[in-house]
Amino acid sequence: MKRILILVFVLLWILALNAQSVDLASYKPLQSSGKMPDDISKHFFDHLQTRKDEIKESDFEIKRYGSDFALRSSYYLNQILKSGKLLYGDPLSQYVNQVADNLLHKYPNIRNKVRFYVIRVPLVNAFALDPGVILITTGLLAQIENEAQLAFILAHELIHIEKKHSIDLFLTQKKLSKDKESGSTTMVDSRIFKYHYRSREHENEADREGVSMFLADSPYDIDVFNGVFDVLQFGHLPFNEKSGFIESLQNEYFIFPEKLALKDINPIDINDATDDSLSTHPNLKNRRQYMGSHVKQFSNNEKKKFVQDEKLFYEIRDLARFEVINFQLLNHNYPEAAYNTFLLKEYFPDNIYLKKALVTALYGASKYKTNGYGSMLTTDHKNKEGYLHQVYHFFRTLSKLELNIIALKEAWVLLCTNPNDTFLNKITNDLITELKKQKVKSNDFIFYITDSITQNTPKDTVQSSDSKYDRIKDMAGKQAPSSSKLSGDNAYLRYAFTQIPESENFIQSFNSIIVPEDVESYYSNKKTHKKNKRLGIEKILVFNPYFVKIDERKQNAFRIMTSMEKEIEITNKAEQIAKKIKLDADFITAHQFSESNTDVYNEFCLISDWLDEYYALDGNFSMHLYHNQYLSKLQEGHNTKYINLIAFATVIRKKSFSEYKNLFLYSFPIVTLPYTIYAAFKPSYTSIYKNTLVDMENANIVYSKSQMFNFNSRRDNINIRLYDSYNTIRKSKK
Amino acid sequence: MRYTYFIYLLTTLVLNVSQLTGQVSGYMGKRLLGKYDTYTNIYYPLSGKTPDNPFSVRHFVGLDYTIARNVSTSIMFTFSEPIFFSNDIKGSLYNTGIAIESTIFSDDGLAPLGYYVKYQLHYYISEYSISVNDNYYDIFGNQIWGKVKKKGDMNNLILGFVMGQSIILLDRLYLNYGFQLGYRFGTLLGSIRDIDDFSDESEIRIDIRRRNFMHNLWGVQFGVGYLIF
Repeated sequence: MKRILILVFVLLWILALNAQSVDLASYKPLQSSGKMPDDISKHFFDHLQTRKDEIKESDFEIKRYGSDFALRSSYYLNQILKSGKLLYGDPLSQYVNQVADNLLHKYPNIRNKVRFYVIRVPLVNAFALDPGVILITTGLLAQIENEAQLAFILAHELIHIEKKHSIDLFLTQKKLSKDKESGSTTMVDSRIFKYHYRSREHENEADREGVSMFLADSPYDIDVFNGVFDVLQFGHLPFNEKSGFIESLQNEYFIFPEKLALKDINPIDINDATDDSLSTHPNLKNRRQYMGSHVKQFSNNEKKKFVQDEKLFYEIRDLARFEVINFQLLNHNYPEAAYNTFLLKEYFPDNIYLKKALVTALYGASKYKTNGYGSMLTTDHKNKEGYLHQVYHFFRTLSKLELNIIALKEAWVLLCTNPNDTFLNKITNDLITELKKQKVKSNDFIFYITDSITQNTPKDTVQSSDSKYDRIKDMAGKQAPSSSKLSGDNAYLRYAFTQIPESENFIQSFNSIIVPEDVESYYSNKKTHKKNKRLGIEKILVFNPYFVKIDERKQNAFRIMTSMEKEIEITNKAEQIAKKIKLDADFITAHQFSESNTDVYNEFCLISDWLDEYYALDGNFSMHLYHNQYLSKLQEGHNTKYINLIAFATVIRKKSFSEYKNLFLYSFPIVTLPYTIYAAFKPSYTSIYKNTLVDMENANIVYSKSQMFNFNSRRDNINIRLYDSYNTIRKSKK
Repeated sequence: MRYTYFIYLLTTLVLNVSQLTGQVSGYMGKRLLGKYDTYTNIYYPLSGKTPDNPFSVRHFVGLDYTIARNVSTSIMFTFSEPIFFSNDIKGSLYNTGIAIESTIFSDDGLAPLGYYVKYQLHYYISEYSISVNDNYYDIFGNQIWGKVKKKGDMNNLILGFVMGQSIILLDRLYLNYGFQLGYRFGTLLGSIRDIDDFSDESEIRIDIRRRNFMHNLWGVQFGVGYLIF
């Protein structure tokens, strides 16, 4: 009996572990869990060998181009699978896999052959990658309306794999390029049209056969195709269409002027009959018509839109929506992130993540504006449709002062309820600093209206005649002095902090932050580093060294094998050099992935996300990166806050006729003839080396070396540069 | 020893500069390089007389030390034996000397690897010995016309400039090649003239000066080395 109880307990425990629990109240960016799938853990060279073996056994015409196809498809598959964007063992992937199980319950062989993953990108899309990998984007999961729509999409992608469409497209491309080589009269344009036509044929086949082969045999509703096409058509829009974003940032005292509201917003384009002659997919009108007639032959009785719990679907969709917001913040797409946050707040009014995401979006946008890069936030504002157009207009029209104050107001309100949040504290201080840089003082604001002062602040609490309350009383209801930044059109900003919680603390915090007089030099010193200055850093984290070789003399200019081999060589060499120089270096690279290394994979993904955000900043200015708050554990685990990024690239150029002509001229004095002969045969190399050390806490570049040299990336050229960089990083300061 | 001051000066320079530039890495931490360089050129005298061997080779053996990120300095012992004499005049010319060099690697290069320009200050002594037809007195005091050996030496100071490239194989083996231009102080190109009368001591010295000038004027450089530590 005791044994049975233990067994039951263990089983319940395992079930509890596997149960899909979607807790959005304490949402954090998703991470993978469990055993790492072979697709991710397998090394590129193993992928390549497997692919070559598969092609050898294949009946396809592809055998003729076997090694080339194997190389290219394995490489691109490898790049996607090891991009740090894939999820496994998480609630989203589990859900997608359950839908796949339901869809393919009559096809166990296919189910065992095909693997389904979720990829963390906001695009509304799904991909079928040869051999047998289907990727569903978080953007798609965030936009679909029921489980059957997901099943339809999976069925569509399964057909791409079953019919080997990627191989067929590769062969089509080869055939078309051969037409050109053989001197065919086929024009270039017609070749492109042919290629796209073939691709559209595949899409129609995937729609048709997906329903015939899989969906008809499954418990899922067939009539959802129109909904799927709606998702594809309007996937670029936010999760909903709803007004009120600007109003959500106002209160009874703080009201925006009319200029911020856009009178004519761009209507949403509902035309689905677009010109598809140069598109890989048929236009949606054609697809709707085609499928409308095709599905009539199938019975839709007893078919369901939800096979699993409907509530679970909505939880999964919300989780995907949170992920999309997370991704938008990483990519500094602040207007959309702010609007999506506003939309979700209707359903999750007290969700701390959403509140923080809104503050982050406003803070990020404010930093862009105050540093003079505001236009980068809203580059495509004219083409935005629906209420998103209004949101873009709002972000675009706000001045840096306005946005700074709005962001600070929201940040302070949230900080009052989360006083221990490090990130909120940092950005609040930063926003106050930025505001003070613009010569705004705390007494420019009206914190209390007259009535409430009389009611809420008894006279006996006032310690001196020059007290804050007296000043506030004096200011209330009066016009701001003309010298104040908050006068004229900006007068409404004086009420931004009226009746905010803990206003006394706010004033104290505001006044306690000291901005150096020479603000410009203070900030410029902060983000630059002295060339070749010794740093005395003892430990670093090296992330995924990168190498690429391009040989323009060859038909396939991108040299995949060399690039991959060199990447491993550089990693090993960096490890050896760091050891030699006594620089403690932890390496996180895609080459380390193995079945039991999910922790390493999650760290890889965390850094990859952080880098997305870091690169989005493009080194233009310093700010507190949103993703930093998720890196503290990683930093503690590796005992360093420095991340090292290494990249090499070598391009071998094709020599032009004029270069040979010049060489001939140089050989005029006979003594230079040996050099001329050497130079004529020597390939023309250009290599680039980049080594950057970044402080993850504040995204400041601590060390940066960027070199361009006219040599091949030989061992000596790599070694000397890596050693030099690590020597500068490690060597003690004088 | 004649070169003591050179060695002393160079050692002091190397030690001081290397102290100031402690972060200099050299190649993987190796900064001292033992090397051998050759400079080859071809010489045809203005008179049109065909020399026995138109090739002249200069040999440099020494040590090179990386003193800054893209600068290295060397001390080299040099020797060469340019045989410019034609069939009817037999002689020999032995040059031995010392050179200090400063090699500056291009902005994107790190010493001792990459494209470089090198400045040389090269001092050597030419010891010549030529058999010429001249009058001489035998032990009995008779004047005789016949072969006489003329011997002497001459100081040479050369300022050289080399452009080239270096590579390193197997983390130790150093190879370089380049093109050199040099100027021997005290000789002007316009003053060079060919002489026939080798019996006159001053004429011989003019010729030796000319030979040394041409010997250093240009050269193709090849070198090998070994990274010691």
